[in-house]
Amino acid sequence: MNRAYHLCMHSFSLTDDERAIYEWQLWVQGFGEAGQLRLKQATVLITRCGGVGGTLAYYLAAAGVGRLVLAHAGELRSSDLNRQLLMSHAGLGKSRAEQAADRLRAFNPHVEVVPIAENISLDNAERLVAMADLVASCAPLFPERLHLNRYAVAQGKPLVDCAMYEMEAQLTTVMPGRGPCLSCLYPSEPTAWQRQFPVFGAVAGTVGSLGAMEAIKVLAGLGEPLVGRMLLCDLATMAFRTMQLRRDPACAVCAGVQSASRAP
Amino acid sequence: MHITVHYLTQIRRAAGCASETLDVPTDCTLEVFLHQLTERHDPAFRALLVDDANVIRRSLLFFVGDDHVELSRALRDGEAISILAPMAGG
Ligand SMILES: [Zn+2]
Repeated sequence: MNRAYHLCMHSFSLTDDERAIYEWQLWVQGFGEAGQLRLKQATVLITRCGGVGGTLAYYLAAAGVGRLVLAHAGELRSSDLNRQLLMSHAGLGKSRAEQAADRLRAFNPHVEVVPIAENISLDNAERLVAMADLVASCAPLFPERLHLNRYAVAQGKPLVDCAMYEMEAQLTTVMPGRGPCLSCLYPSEPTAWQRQFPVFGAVAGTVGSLGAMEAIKVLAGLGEPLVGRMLLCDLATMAFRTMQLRRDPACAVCAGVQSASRAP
Repeated sequence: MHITVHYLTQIRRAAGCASETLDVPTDCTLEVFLHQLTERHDPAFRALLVDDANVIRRSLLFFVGDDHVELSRALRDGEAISILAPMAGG
């Protein structure tokens, strides 16, 4: 944690209204008002707020993360509505990012929400990652995830990668310099992946909720995030496994990167 | 020796089963084992595992037990491998 951040944190406090909203989570051991202030101080970039990212954003808004940046291009389609809980039928044909932001603001007016009607690309990844203390990677295409990973590593920001396929889901947390990054795992872009994938909303929402918990843990310094580990969930059999990952010493993105002294 | 392989995500679809157990020669590395697997399955499965030059794809994740391993890992009797074609559904 850098000095400026530390000083800044102490200049903030919770309002009575916020204490009332978060009362039941302030009881979580090791969290308390200090943890809540860390969440209030934090900005999280969520890339695409669909089935996974929308659920993740919903829980970060519920938990009182101070600022959520939602990057998601395009207008809502009917086929989004089996999983994208921040949207509504009335929003068909309208901006996904704007209606997700409206929903989150209505749910928790203490959270600042910044909608950006863009998907991640090489052109915007560096700028968008720079806006955040933590990145939630929930886009349905590997190039977007790998662009985010590249700039999260370059800027020393934690990245929570949440993904699903059919009845399965995977989750890992990248802490630059402390464990493998996405490029260590996928030195070349996975070829089998296709833009359209089978999905139940509840599977996407499960990994979105788990990813929200990873973000809360990293921001508040709670528990043990999945650094150097990957959670694999098979919702068909309800088998959950935690795998141990290897960092690639020759990784094109993170080789030689040391653990940042700065916590988010 | 006997090696069990668990298929995840698209690999499971292409394999047509969640897992199978194979009898393979001892002193077999993961890479050799994977090439043997491709011989047993159809072209769709093969295309997921290897590229046009018959090289194992670097974007797949391979685990022995719960450990992410390299292709040069020597396999031992009774071990279980998991093959993951990584997911990006969001
Ligand atoms: Zn790396």
